[in-house]
Amino acid sequence: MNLLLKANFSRLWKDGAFWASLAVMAGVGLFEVAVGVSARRQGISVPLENRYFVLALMPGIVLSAFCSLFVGGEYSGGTIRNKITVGHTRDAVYLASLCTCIAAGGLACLAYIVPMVVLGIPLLGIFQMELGAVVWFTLCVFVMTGSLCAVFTLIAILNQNRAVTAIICITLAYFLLFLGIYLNSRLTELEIIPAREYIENGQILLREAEKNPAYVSGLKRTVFQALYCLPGCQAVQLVAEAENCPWSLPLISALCAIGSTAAGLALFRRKDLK
Amino acid sequence: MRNLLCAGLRRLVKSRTFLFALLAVLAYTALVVLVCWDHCAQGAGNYTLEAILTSGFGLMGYLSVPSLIYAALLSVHLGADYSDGALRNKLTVGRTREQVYLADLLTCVIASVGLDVLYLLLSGALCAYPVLEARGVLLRASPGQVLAWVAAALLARAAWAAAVKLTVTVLGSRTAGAVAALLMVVGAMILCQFSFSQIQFLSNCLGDGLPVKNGAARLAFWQFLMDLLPTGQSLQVSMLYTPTLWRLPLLSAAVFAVSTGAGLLFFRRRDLK
Repeated sequence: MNLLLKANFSRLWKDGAFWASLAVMAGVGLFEVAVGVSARRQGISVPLENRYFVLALMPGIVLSAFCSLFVGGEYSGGTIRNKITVGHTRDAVYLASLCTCIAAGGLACLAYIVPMVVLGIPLLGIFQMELGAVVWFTLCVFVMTGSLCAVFTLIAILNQNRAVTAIICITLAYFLLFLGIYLNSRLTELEIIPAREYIENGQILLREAEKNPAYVSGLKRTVFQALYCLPGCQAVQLVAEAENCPWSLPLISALCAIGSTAAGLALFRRKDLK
Repeated sequence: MRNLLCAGLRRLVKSRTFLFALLAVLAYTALVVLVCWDHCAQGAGNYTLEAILTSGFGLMGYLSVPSLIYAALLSVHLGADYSDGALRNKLTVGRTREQVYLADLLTCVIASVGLDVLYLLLSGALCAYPVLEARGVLLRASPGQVLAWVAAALLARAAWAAAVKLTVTVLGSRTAGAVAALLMVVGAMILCQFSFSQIQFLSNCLGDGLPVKNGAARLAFWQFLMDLLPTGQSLQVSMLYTPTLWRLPLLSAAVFAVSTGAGLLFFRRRDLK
């Protein structure tokens, strides 16, 4: 597998999609610093972590395009058959592709973090949040990125059509992200709308506390909470609860990665590579 | 050119990609309709039919879901011409490059506008009665205003299809075209959301008389950007917030003309190997 990894990494350094992914992540990092600086000039205080947390939203979209192009290239170039013909096992081919994608995902995250820290600290000041919480958040994002890479690799390696793979991966990344936003808005609804005063026809009236019809409860809430922990949706949860990320999130990401890799290996062993 | 257009439409309708796109549009329509029925039954929400109709162009003010579906459909359909070699065949039998380009463009416009109209008809038919029963009124805006919104959004869709056609023509590959078209949609959505937040911030500051450096010029710039981008137009219509509705069709026509002109120029010189 060492040879496969070496070959994959040497292809990775020459891959345009990889450098484009790094450029996009670095560009967004710079853009976020610029947004923070612009807000500061308008007199609005923007802590560095405020811009840093956007990191969680980016890997899904960027890596969905990268993984589908990189792994899909193995089919269109015919290299996957060559690897098997010279004696590498299918498991080794799959795991080597997965490791390469995870490494690329980690580097893409670093491409966001480096300009954010190097330029953000002098321009916006140091993190106002505890450093330990920032490190824990970053670790959670890295684990989530690895889990997303595992899912995208699974899709890409089981589908020989690169265009279809790209569409499925990118659409899935968007879908999970937007599902996360929707679930966040539903799960943060108050159960009871507090009592409040309002003015009608010049009279101050009191509306008593009432049940919020939009509050999600029972089995529906359990299902929503379970979906909210999926790797793509998790990005929104990480941003929403960045100061105190639950320990369960990286655990769920790791389980998703293991599950999708196991499924991918089982299906790839039986796949007809034509 | 009529033959080319008929052939393009026939190939599109028979393709599996179109079937998936149709199913995706039906699923999206079902989602909007079910949420509307749920809200009407619970008494939640306070919107009428125009909000449901314009949800076909964007959700929650920043999600242009149909654009994502059509980006995948159009890029795969257009890119297949390159990968299958159908493009060369068309030229070999004597069609001009302009005819081929315009026929493909019209196919894209008809397909995307057609799917939008399907959404409008289905959602309108399925939500009219529940909305009328729950709110006591079908529309809060005048029918003329609703028609103007829908017409502006459909024109924006045509301009957007022209931009996708240009992208695929420049890239000349199905995979690269699909990735670029999908990323273009999400890039436009993020840009529009940022523009909208700037518009709100500047409007509030200027309205409250707070000093903002070049406030009026910056507000005009962000509003122009929202109006220029087809995704921006669609999202404005979906929010029922179109302060400059009169210029949206003009800018859509400009985007359509510029994209088509640039695409034709590029396609004339392209080496089709």
